[in-house]
Amino acid sequence: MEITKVLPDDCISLIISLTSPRDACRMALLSHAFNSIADSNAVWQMFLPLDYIHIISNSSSPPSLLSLPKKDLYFTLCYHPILTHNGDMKFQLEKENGKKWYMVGARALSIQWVDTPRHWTWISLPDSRFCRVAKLKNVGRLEIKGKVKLNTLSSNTNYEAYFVFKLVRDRYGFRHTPMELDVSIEGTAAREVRSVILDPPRNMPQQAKERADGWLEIEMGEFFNGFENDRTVEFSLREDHDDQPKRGLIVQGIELRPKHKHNR
Amino acid sequence: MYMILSLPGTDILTPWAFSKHLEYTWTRAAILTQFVQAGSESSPCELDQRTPLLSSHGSLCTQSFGGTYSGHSNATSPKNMGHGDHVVDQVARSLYVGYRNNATMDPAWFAAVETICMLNGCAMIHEALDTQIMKSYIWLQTVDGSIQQVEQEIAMFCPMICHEVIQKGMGSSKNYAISLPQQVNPAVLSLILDYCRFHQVPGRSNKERKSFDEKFIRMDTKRLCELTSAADSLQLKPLVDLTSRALARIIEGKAPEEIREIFHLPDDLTEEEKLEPLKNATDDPRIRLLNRLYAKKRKELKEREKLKNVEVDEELVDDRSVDDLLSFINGDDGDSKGIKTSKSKRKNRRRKDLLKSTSAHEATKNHNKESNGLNSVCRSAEVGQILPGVDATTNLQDVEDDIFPNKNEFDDGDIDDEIDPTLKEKIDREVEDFARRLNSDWPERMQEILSLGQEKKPVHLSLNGKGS
Repeated sequence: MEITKVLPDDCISLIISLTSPRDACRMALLSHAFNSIADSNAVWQMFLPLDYIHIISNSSSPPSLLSLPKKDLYFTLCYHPILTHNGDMKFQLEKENGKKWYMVGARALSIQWVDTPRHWTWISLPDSRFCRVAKLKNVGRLEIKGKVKLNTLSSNTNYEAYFVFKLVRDRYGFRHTPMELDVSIEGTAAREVRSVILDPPRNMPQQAKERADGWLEIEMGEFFNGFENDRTVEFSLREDHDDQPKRGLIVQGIELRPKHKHNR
Repeated sequence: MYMILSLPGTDILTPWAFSKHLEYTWTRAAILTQFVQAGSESSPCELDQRTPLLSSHGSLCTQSFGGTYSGHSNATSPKNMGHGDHVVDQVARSLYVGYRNNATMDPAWFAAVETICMLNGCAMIHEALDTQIMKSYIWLQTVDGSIQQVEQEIAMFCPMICHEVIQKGMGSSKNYAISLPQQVNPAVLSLILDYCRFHQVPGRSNKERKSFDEKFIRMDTKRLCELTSAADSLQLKPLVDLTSRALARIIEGKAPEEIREIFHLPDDLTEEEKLEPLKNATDDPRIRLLNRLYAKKRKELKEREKLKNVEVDEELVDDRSVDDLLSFINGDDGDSKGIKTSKSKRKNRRRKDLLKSTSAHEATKNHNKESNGLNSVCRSAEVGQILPGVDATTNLQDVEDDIFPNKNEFDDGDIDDEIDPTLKEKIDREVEDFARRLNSDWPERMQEILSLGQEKKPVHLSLNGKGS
């Protein structure tokens, strides 16, 4: 009994779409029949987020993206993030499961004193997808906040929030003073608070990790996006105790990544 | 005016189906339209003749044409005329009898139907006829010719059967049994009916249903596939979803070889097809590069095929002489670890090791490209032999990374790209030469290539024992 003779193509599509993108890629290698089904739009459409058309139409990307075969579109979105929300957010897909992955750019964050040239300046860096990132010139108290509506993200998913930044050579204020990181879902008890040092001396453990794109990231916290997601998740990074001058931090944004599962 | 209702045959519909048919065909709007039309065409007094009369005894009858279709109640008050009143029962029943007795051409009959529909709604007729003691059965015929009867509420859970009954009036007797699709054999039908029997009961909790479902799908894969196919042909979507999910759970995370075994699939993609160039509408330079890599790998595969065919018999002998040669060349380092060329079965793994060991000579990026490229070759060459395990998984994972270009590897290596492809082309050309000139002078040829290789391409063969 060969399965392709027993089951109609759309049943096989349904079965493949209930596995994972990785499995679907493997299944394209099984046999001729599976090759065309596993690569079909019917399957890959199921891996794309439900509102992918809406997201792409409201992004800065050309609408011709939508005319790609769905498998190509899926991987284009995995490897080539697009800018959405008027250039304020960067969107891509998590390759393993097609979940949404956003970075809230510095422009969309509420950074205290960011519009005062004496304290912060907007610069353009080639290794950031955003037009501009915020560079800290001098503040005494640091406060960076952001919020995202939960219905923007994939439901039924665990997300991790990361603060994405760089430190320039002449920086100060981050070596010994801990920053308070806070991730909470407004209106619920879900909240995570951490205290980290962004720029510890060499003999101390580094909490920030280097990213593939050359920036640093530090985990702010985790949250779970359930099904009833009309709430907002809020993040903040704060240092407002010691009033010492701080300088030399470049903020790209806060990234919300689906947490990677290693089972299944 | 009376032709709205068209009924199939006269003795085909069961009472239940008849009422369903009425419900389906008639709507209040249709009835009202009729009455409006009647109003415009006829005189008011005709209309009056059609309105039902409520006698003081609480009986409903249609005045026109002698009130043939009527029902009586013993209730003294007209107020007892209401939802589910047994007078409606009687009228409904008499309507059905009229239908069975070929009364459908009788205007009086139609008038009665119209009246009761308008007064009480078709659903009432349905309810009235449905509450008859006699249970209705639907007749089904499976692909092997056997016919069986099934309780209507269970069978009607399947949309396809439902459609046959309502739209075409089939299934009410043995002669008019509904022919089920060929995917439904008696064994599978019995499973499907079990499913329907459980789920059509409205009062069950979600937990109960879920628990039933989990037990229900415990069957072998072959049966699951048959069940999916049958449920699909009967348009029973909840069951299709359930079985599909079960099948998805079975195949996810498995290597292609395992899946082929489970589903008895032929491995009918050629190695070439497995390395098929990626179609890329956006003309991404990374994809273009990857396709070039694939093309080279395909060529290499062809060479390897040719080489394999020729030297199969001499393999053992060859290895030894290669070892001898190389230890001679190396001045007795004796380390034959990295020596084997593209001949042995483990060749791909070795080449990967070799390249890794010579990464000091090349830019790291080149190394990444090579090893990933080779992994894809590994995959294609060994895909028939992959066993579940760490190695296989890493290979496949590497491959997936390879198929979908990693930004790092291709991002800023444009300068390097100029160098590497030419070098690779040189290597390819040499392999081709080698293949062409291959004859029974295998050891001599080998020596030739090795000495050539030592000068030109340390990349391919790690001739220095220190290279590892």
